[in-house]
Amino acid sequence: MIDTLYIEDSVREHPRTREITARFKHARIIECQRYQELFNARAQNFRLQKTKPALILAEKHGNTVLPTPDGYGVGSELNYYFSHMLNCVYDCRYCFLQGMYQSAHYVLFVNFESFFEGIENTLAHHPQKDVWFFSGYDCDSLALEPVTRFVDESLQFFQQHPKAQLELRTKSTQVRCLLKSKPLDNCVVAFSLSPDEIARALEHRAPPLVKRLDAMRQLQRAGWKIGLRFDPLIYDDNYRTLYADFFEQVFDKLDAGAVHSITLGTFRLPTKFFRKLETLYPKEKLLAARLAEKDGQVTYSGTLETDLLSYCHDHVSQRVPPSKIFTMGETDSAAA
Amino acid sequence: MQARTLIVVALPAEARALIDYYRLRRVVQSHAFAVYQNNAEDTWLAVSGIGKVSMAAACAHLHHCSGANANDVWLNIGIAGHAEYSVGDVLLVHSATDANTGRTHYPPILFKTGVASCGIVTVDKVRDDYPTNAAVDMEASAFFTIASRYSTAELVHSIKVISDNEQHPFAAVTREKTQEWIAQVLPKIDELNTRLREIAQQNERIEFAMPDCLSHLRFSFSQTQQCEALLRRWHALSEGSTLPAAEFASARSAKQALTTLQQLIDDRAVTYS
Repeated sequence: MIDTLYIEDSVREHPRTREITARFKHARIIECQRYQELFNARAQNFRLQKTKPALILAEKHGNTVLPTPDGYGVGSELNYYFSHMLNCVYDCRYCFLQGMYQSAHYVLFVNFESFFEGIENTLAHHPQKDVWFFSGYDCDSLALEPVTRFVDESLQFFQQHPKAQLELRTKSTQVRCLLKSKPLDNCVVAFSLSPDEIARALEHRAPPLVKRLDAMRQLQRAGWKIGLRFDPLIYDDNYRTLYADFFEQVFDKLDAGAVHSITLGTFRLPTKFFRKLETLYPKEKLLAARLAEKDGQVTYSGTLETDLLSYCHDHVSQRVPPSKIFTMGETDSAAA
Repeated sequence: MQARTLIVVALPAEARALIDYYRLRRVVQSHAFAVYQNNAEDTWLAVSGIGKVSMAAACAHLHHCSGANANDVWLNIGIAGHAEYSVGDVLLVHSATDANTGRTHYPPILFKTGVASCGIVTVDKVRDDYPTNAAVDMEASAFFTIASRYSTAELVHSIKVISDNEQHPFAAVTREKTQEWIAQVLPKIDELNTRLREIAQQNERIEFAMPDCLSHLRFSFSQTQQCEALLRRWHALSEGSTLPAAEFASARSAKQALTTLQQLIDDRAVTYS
């Protein structure tokens, strides 16, 4: 899958770098000074690179933990995110990462300890308060776990910090690392889901809906808290039937009463990112219909946005108490 | 549009085998640099001369002569020195550093190749010593700097054949030997070229052309841009069906035509089922 590894000079001797490179015995190893030299270089084509992304092992400098955009969260006051990885193994056509980054290579920051230190420092600023830390903002939290083992280490860290609440955001069915661990009360595994027809059309390389639901059920039965992320909601002329059937399928499979939280948000992208996506995927239906630009964002035009959102909100409200349902705003989409 | 291949080499001896292999003929109008093309005009070659400035200028010249577009394959082929590799070994360049500025290009490698890869350091003067773990030449970094302005980085690559090492000094390199080394690796070069052209095909681009049914109308610059965006959307939603010309027969202005086009788009079904 990964044929090329780029390794920053500063992490060449890092134990995790050695561990990861040992798993890619046949990969081409290329040294670089700073990952931005290649990741941010101009004249790259995200779409072409997505056919064979390389893995960049790098060191994260500076702030490792940042406040989330306004409106991002599940009802808590203190919300932060961190990105131990940039980019995602899946190829979802609506994903903002395609618009944000020049390169589709995966960047893995191997200095996990800096993220944990950042989380501890953030907790120290809010003594005795629950603070949420969202993973999966710039990547999928679980999809590359067999390579990174980040979640494995994170669980040990979060176990010792009960005031730190962790959200792992994913479409992956790589849940072995969770199933072999004791469920943490301060960890929510949040799955992004779409109706099967939409997932097939737009969530390329992501596991099918049924597989995701199976993984969720396993986790739920093992005692893990599960979150449902219906974001982005995608318009289809037949969206009422499509989403009604979809919610039926989801709640048939899961224990709705035990669901930790649900978030809902319609498809939306910053205009700049949207324009880039139009160039990358000129034949993509998603980017061609029923959209309008408003306040620097492209989203569904007219009343479609609110119609779609309120229809889905009404549906999930029948299964889960409204106190557990959160609507995402204009600036707060996540990758996974 | 089918991607083309634009090859830039430094020396006539590096060009010889490529000219024969791809059946290229000299473009007579080109005086500044020797430029060659094949009959199909889908493979071009320029001989730059030695050094970064010459390479940069030759890339610009070839771009101009060939009318290259942003989805064409650019290849730099030539000889290079390396401390450890044997003379005649072929290497794909995975990073190219300008020894003067320290700036490095990392061409994204999206294909499997049976060819080993290495970094290369581009120097201004011939040197007796070799960099550690890298090849050395006098053009590659300039090639990447300029060619990646004309095409996307994934399609810009350099292949080097080792001409000298610590046992075989650069002074012993001859024109005949250079021709022979390049000739020996032609199948590998051609395989890479084919692979890169396939990758270029994956880069879906839609060339804008005003449809006949709208050609009787006068569009301003911004209306042309709007029309281009709407036509792209129409094509995305109509999955290849042609624009219904009859709908535009009564349009008296570009503004009217754009409104009709928008209406046609709004009427298209949007469904993933």
